[in-house]
Amino acid sequence: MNRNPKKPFEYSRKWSMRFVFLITMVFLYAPILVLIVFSFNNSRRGGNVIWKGFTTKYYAKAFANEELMLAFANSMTIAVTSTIVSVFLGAMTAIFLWRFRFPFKPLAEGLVSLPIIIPEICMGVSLAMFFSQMGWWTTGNTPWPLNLSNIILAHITFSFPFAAMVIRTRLQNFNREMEEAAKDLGASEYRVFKDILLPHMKPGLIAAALLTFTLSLDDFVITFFTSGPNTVTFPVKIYSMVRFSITPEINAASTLLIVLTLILTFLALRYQRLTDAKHD
Amino acid sequence: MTNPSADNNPKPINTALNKPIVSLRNIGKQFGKVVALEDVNIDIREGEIFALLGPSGCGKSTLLRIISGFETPTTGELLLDEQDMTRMPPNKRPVNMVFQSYAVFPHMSVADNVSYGLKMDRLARDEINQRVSTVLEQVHLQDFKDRMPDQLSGGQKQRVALARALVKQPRVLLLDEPLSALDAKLRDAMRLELVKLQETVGVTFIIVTHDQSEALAMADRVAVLESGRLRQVDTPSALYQKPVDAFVADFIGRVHTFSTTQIELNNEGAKIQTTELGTLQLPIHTLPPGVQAGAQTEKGAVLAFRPESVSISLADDTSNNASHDALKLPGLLGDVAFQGQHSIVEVTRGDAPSISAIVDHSALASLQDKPLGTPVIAHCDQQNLMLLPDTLK
Repeated sequence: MNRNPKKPFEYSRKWSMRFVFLITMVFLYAPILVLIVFSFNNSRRGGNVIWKGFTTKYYAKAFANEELMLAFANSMTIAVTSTIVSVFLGAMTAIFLWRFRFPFKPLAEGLVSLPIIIPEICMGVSLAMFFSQMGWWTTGNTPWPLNLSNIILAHITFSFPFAAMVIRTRLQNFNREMEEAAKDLGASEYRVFKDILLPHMKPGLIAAALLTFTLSLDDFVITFFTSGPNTVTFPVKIYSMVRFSITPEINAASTLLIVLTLILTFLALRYQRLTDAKHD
Repeated sequence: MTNPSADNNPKPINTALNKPIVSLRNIGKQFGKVVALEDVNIDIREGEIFALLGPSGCGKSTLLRIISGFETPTTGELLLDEQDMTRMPPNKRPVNMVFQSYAVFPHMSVADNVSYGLKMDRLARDEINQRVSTVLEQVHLQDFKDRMPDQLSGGQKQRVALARALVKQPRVLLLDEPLSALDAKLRDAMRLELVKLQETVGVTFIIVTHDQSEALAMADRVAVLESGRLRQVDTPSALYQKPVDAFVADFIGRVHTFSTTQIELNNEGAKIQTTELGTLQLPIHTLPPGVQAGAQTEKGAVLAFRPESVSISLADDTSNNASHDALKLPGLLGDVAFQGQHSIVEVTRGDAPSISAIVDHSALASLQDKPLGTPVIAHCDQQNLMLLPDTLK
């Protein structure tokens, strides 16, 4: 290097650092990249590492696969419903924990965030037992989408603590004088919430919605334990297809899932940036 | 409601005869076991700028929150226009507040911020628009109507907070440390502007501050609080010239204090024995409240004088023109701090606390070339000596 000498904190100009960064990127994204690339591979086997030419026929095949499409519809229904309920519950929980002082508050806070650290397998087993014990009425004959209700309940259970955590973080930097100022100007408790607190919470609500949606969309373990033969979700369906044989169709389906998640993330981030630039 | 900005009567020079607008009667406030306020009685008069002054933790902010309605006093009552407001919720009081952080709503434009309170009152759109533009002109923000708060400077945000409160045409405007978040230069300009604004709108201002120079410069009257108790309510000049105790004297400006051991009243006044100054005969015929004749305990009376009333002469100067009954304290010349108009001269006195004197240029001339440690005498006229109850810690 013939430029200025390196300064102590210019890590990006150290070759060792660049190497570590490169390796990290490769391990993180190479598998995903391979998956996407081989979804266009004109080969009967998805695990085939030999490029046999470009094709989109496996996408057409995936879209034509009725079982896969039903699983996708199931996943979307579950994700949308559980997101709405989780964000609502999470917001209520966050406001409650942030706003009020009550006996055993640390205990309540711990209990709310417990589902975040409990191993998923334990939650899956306990929820499966819970539903069978109380004879939850989803049978093979239950009409769609009511047959998804136990999965939806399970998803709400594990994802609303995440929503509560994200929203609470946002509430933490709310200036309480803002609330008092609104009251001082004549606002009722309800108007303070609607005009002042809710707009402040909005980025947190969006982030929480995005997080719970993705959590629900790609959850496998808990869903696997609570789904029946007629209530297969997208990840569970892909898993059963993989067990059968790995075809590029699975690559195509997975790629669709990635693209969907990316679009949602992009939209949410963009929205948040817009509101941040305008208000904060 | 009447529009205070519409009547063009200038603010009366003397608000002393105005009727009280806010009356605090025996106000006490406890947070658990902590006593924040104890038996506070103040009448704040219509149209005045009233300052609540005291060191942090003295209860001045709690008092302001009681007036605004965000705290309820444990004992006592609050009258506003002779009506009991002690338990009225803040959104129903004809009182508005400018918060220390300004608390401008970040997701609303300047105009939306200012009109928020009027929308809560369900006023007609035309009236809202008209009142908002009037008040924005008063605070010189007419060109910033559509700006968002993050496009405003600190000073401009404060104007938004002011406009937002004033547009409600409150009976009383409360300001919580209004200048503390501004930088020094802006603070001086804003001080003047707040006073001018108050003169235009005619609303009673109650200002909470810990900065004594701010209170003295802006307020018509000042209440000095210390650990939850009201020490003195008076005009700035009365606070300065006739402080009721050593705490007030020290908080409003600076004082040198000397403890006393014995006070006796006789025909010529008071004979005061002190440990450091010997025995003094002062023309004080009635002792101030809080000071008793007889032997003085540790928390008894102190003799005090201000650095401004000290003059300094060289010890060997025979043409001493100070009056013969003045207090004379010999010492050595210490540091001289140049302050522009005047200088602060330090007189060291061995183990005893040194004395500061504020002297002007002509008085400084004779000391100018003298080396440190030159023997000097600090004089203070008897009339400038104050006998005060010792309330300093």
